[in-house]
Amino acid sequence: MRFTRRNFFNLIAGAFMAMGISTDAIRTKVRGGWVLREDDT
Amino acid sequence: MRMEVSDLDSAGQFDFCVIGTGPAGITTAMSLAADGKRVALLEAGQEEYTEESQDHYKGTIVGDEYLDLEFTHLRYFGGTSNHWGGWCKTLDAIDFEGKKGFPDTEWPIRKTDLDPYLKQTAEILEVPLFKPDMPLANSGFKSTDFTFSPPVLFGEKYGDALKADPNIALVFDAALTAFDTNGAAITAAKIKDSQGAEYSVHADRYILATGGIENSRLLLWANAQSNDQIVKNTKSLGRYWMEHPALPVGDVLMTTEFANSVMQDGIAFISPSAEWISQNDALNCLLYLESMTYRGVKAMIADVMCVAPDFGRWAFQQVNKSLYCGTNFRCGVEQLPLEKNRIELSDELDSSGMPRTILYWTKGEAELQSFRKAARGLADYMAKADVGRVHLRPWVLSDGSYPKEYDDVPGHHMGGTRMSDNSNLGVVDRNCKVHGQENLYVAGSSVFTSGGYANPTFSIVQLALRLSDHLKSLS
Repeated sequence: MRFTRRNFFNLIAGAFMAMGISTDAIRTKVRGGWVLREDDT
Repeated sequence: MRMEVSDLDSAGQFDFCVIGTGPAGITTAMSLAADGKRVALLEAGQEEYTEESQDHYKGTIVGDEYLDLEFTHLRYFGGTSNHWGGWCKTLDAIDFEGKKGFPDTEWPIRKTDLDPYLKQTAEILEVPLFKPDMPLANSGFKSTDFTFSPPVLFGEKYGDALKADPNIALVFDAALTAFDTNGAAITAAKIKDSQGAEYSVHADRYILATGGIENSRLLLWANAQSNDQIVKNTKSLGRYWMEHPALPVGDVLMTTEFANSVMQDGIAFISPSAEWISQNDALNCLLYLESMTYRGVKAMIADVMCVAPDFGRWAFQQVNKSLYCGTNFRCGVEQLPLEKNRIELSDELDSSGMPRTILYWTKGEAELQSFRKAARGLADYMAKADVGRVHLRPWVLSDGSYPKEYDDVPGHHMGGTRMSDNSNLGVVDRNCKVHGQENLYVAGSSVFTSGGYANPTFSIVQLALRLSDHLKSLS
């Protein structure tokens, strides 16, 4: 399940990059010094 | 050909007198000699390293912790090329154009003025030409190419050619102590050998190429002995001195796919685009990622599990499938050129009677914020694009000052005789000629108006070739 979700995000991010679409809408958060995606759990 | 220092007085008039045998001096001398010019090439030290000669470079540091001056530049044939690491990189176009919000960072020349010397410089330093930058999607960052010289040690590589060249008089143990001037031009370079004997060199033009510390020191000392008749406007002399502050900023877990796209031989070089620099009011910088051991990667995963256990477990699976890897994350930044960072003359004298160097140097707020913005910017990009996660050091994420633990600066000496068309802001003009002197030029990283992040040797050689072409056009 987790692996699938990761693949999905990789695909999405890759598609964004390929199309030159900004990933600015994706938010990040900082926990314990780690810069994480907001949906990282 | 070799010439003994004691023969200088009877050597007659040279076309050029080049002072210093590092990359700038040897490049300039060989280029001029190849054009049929008669060149005196002077080295203050000997053909080989001696402790007695190196002792002249002892100095005092005031400000931030810094490398001992006697170890950061070398006083023998080949100069500081004798211990350079070989890293090659050009300055970026934006380095010449200046940075928005940062005064005194604009050069009077542009990158396009040095580009014609790319191929020749690459040949001299024995490196391939640079591959084009590769933008990382729309992140504002790009993967950028460095090349690595063997490294070329200039004395070792070019010594035989210099000694065989009938147009070159290569003189060891010939330390510049002063210039004679008629008020408008230099009429002689005053030389002293290690035994204290003094000589004069006469040339149509003089090129000072003794490095990013000694160019300032020698001109300050020449001025002190001539009532400021060598560099007549002293406002910037010795000032606007720069380094490349560098610090570890964190560690990175990343996809192997991303690593493969940016890393070469276990290291990746990433720098911000001109647009990112302008939009973020930052100085230029280099972010470099260097592969770490499997043990280090496991430690990182254990750490991230504390704050994002699902991600951590997933990352651990990926590492075991060789789909994820880890790197150390370091950053080196351009230093804002400031008057207060400067070289002055000490009251203490070296064995020749020349005042030793005092270097006043501190890192500032502009560099600190640039470290933070760049490290956070790349970390954000990697998370958003889901190509990795970055663990940043506490000082990067805080509002405090620099970290207490100290990291090496690379020993890049820049500025002090910087280039500007305004003599209040620079010692040399766009052609590297000292303002107010008809025939005195400076070669080397001391003429850098601003320093970007690039290791300076490649640009030093480019500038020396450009200076040589200019000098040939005059005669």
